[in-house]
Amino acid sequence: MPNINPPARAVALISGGLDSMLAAKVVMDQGVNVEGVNFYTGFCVEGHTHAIRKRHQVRPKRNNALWVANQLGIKLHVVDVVEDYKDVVLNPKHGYGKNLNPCLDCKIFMVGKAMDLIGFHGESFDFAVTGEVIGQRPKSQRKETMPIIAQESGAEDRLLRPLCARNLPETLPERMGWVKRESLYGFSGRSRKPQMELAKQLGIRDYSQPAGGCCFLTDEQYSKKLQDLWNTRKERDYELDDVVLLKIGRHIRPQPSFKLVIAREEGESRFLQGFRSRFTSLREVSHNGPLALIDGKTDQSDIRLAAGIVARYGRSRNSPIVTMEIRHTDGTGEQLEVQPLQPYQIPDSWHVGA
Amino acid sequence: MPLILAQEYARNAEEGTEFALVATDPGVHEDIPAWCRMHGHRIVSTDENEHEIRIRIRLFQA
Repeated sequence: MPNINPPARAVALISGGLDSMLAAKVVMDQGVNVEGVNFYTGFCVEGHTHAIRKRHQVRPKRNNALWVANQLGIKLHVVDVVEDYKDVVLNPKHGYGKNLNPCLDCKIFMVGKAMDLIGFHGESFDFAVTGEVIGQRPKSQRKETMPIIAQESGAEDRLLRPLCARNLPETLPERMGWVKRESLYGFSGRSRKPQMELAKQLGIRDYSQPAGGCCFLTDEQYSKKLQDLWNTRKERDYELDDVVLLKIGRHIRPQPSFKLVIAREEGESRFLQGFRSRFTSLREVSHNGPLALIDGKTDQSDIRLAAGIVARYGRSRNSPIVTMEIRHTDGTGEQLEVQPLQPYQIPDSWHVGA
Repeated sequence: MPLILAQEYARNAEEGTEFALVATDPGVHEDIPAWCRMHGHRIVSTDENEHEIRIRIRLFQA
């Protein structure tokens, strides 16, 4: 008698790295209908930041999660969790890992959000899949943290980790026969060799190898910039624009009341143009120079100081006088003639995150 | 993020709708075609100048 049960459906957390790609593929190969989900927190989109900068041209200009989903031939739902994620960054119950990365809370949050997708836009999934491997990450991927993630996310035994499942108790998908335990894996430890070997076996030749992970919160310089934001605003909070801008440009804070975000190259200047309706901007008009945004409160003397700093990073840095255009958020503007500051006039302490 | 804006627009629009996505993020050159392939949508045109990238998309059901 033919099997009339429809295939089980799983939602796979796709980060864009190899592990989540393999985990999804292993489950797909067992006949499960898999769709991917990727959560946009504001801190993770390494791919688009590489696209902005010319010096990163060697890296593919792409969102790796989308690319992975395309390679696997599955749909990917990109879910905006910026607002909900704030509480994870600001108040991590399990503390921070490297720098300001709330590793364990982040994983619990994301698995919990994936579980919310049961019923997502009319979809319905039977279980969730992650690419976690015991021992792979010192904070979030340890034998002791695996049950914490399953419990606190609410996933319980509907969370399958195909790459290390054989080191863990049996889950619902295994008991229901949706996947066979013997076709899952028992990887553990920090070595990437088993994953690379499995990729070869599964015919996956191209995959991203993100340097330092996919999260900016693990980056020391980025974390210092975020800490500076909290210190100078005297509150631990942020908006999406704040955390996106921390990825871009040179950040210089000459006064506690304001900082400058100065593009380092043409790609960044163009990207910053998209923020000109929200921030006062400066650009040299007498010569070529970078676009800069002012974040904070300024008076006329601050604007003059800011213009001198920005002029220092233009081609006319050695000219006696340059003309800067100041554009306000309402579209009005004025021009200002200033002398570019010399390097010794910009102390190291003004460089945020350096 | 341009991709999320496109996805949100598509969720509430009818099949056959055309819309333009305007971005300053060059990652859209890779991401939007990938998203369209995945969900069955079609790129009608892509225009770029020194200030922005404008991608015109027609929505279809995958």
